[in-house]
Amino acid sequence: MTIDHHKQSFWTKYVFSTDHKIIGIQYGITSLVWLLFGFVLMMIMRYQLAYPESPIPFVGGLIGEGGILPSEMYNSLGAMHGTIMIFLGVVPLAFGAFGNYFVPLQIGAIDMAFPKLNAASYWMYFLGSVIMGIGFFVPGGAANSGWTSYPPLADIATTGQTVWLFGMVMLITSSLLGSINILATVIQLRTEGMTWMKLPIFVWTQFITAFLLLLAFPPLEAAGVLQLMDRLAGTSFFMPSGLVVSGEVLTNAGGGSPLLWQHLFWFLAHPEVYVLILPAFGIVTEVIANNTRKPIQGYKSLVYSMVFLGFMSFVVWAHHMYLTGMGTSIGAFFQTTTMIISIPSVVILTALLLSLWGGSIRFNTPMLFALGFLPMFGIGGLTGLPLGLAAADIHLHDTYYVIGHFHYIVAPGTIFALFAGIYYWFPKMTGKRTNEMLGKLHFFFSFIFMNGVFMPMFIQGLAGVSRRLWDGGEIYAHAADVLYLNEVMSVSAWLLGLSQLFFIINMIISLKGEKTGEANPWDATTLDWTDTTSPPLGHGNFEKVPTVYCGPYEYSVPGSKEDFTPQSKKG
Amino acid sequence: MDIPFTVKNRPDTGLYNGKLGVWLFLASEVMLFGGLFSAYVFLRTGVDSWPVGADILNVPLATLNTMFLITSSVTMVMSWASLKLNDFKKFKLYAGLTLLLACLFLVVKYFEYTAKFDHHLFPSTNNFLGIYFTMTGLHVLHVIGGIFVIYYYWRKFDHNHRTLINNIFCALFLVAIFTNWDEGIKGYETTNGLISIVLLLVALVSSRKEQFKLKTKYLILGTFFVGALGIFNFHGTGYYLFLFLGLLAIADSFIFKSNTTYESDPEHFTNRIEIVGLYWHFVDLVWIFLFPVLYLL
Ligand code: HEM
Ligand SMILES: [Cu+2]
Repeated sequence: MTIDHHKQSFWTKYVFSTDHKIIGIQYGITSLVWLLFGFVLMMIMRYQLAYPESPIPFVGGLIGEGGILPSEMYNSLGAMHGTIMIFLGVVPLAFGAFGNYFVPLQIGAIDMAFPKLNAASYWMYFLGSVIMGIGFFVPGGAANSGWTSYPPLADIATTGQTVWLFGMVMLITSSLLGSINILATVIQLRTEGMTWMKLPIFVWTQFITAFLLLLAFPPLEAAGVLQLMDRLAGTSFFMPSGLVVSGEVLTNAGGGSPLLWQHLFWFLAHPEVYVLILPAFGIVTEVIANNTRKPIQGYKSLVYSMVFLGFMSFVVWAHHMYLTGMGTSIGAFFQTTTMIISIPSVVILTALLLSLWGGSIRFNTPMLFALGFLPMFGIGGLTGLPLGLAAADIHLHDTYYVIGHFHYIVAPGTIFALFAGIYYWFPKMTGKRTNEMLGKLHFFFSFIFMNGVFMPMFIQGLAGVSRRLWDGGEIYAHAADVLYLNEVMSVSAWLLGLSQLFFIINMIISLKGEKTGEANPWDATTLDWTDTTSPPLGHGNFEKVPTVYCGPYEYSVPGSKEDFTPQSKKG
Repeated sequence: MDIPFTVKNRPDTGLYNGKLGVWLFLASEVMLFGGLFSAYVFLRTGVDSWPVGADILNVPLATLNTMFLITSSVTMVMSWASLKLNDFKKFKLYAGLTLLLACLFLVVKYFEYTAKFDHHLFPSTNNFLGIYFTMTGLHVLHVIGGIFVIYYYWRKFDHNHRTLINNIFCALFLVAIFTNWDEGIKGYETTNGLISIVLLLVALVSSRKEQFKLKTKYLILGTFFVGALGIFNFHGTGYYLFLFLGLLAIADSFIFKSNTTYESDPEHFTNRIEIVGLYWHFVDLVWIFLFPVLYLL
């Protein structure tokens, strides 16, 4: 018997818990709240873009003077939207919540390798997110130099930037603890028989993600410390000599380089892109395998592609910097690596598409979101290729085309995958079922409006409209023809917001509903479904720790009575 | 519910969890300092002239510090080896020596820093000093972190040890109060100082007797508060030192629980010391890179 039965108080059980499942749920709830908040910021900004300089409804009062969004505040909201979505929303949800809850279950572990560290990691994240939030209340408002915080601008920006840096240091520490934990858990705590090539793809993606976080984040921490020194101790790491601000030469010692920041930043931020996408791959793979009732095509090629992707993501960072005047040979190197890194992504996408072939597909809500993910990720990936080539990037750099490109990957892409994961695992986490009707409505409306928001961005971007514009391009002649799209995008964004009500209502109704208590409603093969109850028993997960005999996706094996063979089934 | 492989090695990886964990942590630390070293190279190659470290920094002091850290790495290994031989007394001796050397490192660093400030050399003066203060500062934070962890394992004590530690803190307290004495003779602070001393003496006496053990920590707390009242009209390095030590003493007697791992599971305890040792060698190694790069090149 591996389960702990002794009584715990509410506080130790639900708040300062060291149980990976509770911590996973804490991560999940906190990050969903932040996702919503980051989205609300964008809905406010989209009002200003659609109807420049008219008072914003509902929240205008909070914004001050006549309810019109001032341009400085637009910058703040934009920078915080990016920061919140990535560091407080998607990563904690994809890695913190799903990783924590399901990696131990899928590998047959009774908990993470370091449960106390796990709790510490969540509370660091919580603290970091509170610090980020405090930024809105300091003089000058929250950080306003973009989520990339490029100096010299960020070096001389208002106090909000300092708060941002402190917040980031906390978040980096949190993700460091989290990634060590996932790595150690997967390496050390796989149950008997769970060899590397029997790991579910979801576990593989979390494992590689953890490696990226472990190795890519520290240089950003270093950069953050240097920027803090610039701001607080008056150093000039990122300040060139003789910089003139508002007509006055700064008195700094000078001699620093803004490019240094860009290198350190993108050394993190490119792998970060894969941190945003890999867990999505993992979830989508699980859902697709389960609902096509077929083994995944090319399990090994998937694994190798993902590992390769992980390695390559460390040598492509400077493709974000083609316009900084780097030499052509360096440019050529980074163009080549960037083209090479697109190969594994294509392999992954192809493997998933082939897996659909000839399956008797069940179109339930998680599957719809997983299927929606595929073309959206495809569009995001294809539109990225021109950006990887310096010649094309010179035209497209810093336009709405770029915004469209990466949002296709992270918004209709990753966010759809995360929804798929929530709907797929909801029965496991609660023992209850979600409402299929509401789920499908949620999917269809989200799908339409997501595209309504992001498709027009390509058109605007190709016409040359820049990103980070307060008036949406109103004063530019070249934008005149595509300006009407601003309203289309904004209305889509608000309707997208409304569509999320289906999700929220669904969650509330389902949580209030009856327990079905089914352990394995989807007839899945992995240990989280076959060897635990729903929800898994207290601290300890399994009545009896399972032993693994089969691969992760043995669906419709010829000669077997049922159409799925659990990993823990002998013979 | 016990998590597997916290003490014993997993056969196929040949590691216990903690050891793997610390290696992963160190990998990320390598990236952190790697990032800073690359920043150093980037900044240095980006400008025409760069000062020679030895002209500005104090090489003899830094050499002394290098000796301290290298020796402390050796004593750290010895403390672990003593545990392997089940010799707990030796462990305490060597771990104590490690702590002492680490503190000496900090003392020397303190004098180095203040000498720079006295000559109006600040991080903002130029980028060489900027990166010097940033990198050594970050390293110092790592040293302090190490001191806390080693201390935590070193300090597991029976009553006698507890008394010893309380006495050390009381003595440090007294030193801090006396260094403030001549500046503090202004009526109000003098009274405070006197009350503090009386309280401390009572604390010292009471800590000698087992049955008073509990009260000692409250007396320390009391001393601190009486002393802390001086903050309204008294400032100075010695006084801040007093406050700092006071906080440490309070943290020590209230927060840190005695670690009982050694009694319940000596092998587990030995593993922990091995992990701390790995971390400590890394801190040492970083310094061995920092020293030539900043002071000599
Ligand atoms: C689904 C709803 C979303 C909408 C409607 C949306 C919309 C936008 C728009 C219009 C911009 C450009 C603002 C400007 O340049 O002035 C933007 C910027 C950005 N978004 Fe989103 N976004 C959404 C979700 C996300 C998600 C899920 C992520 C990340 C995981 C994300 C990350 C970013 C980043 C990093 C920026 C750049 C911020 C900067 O300029 O510093 N967004 N978003
Ligand atoms: Cu990139």
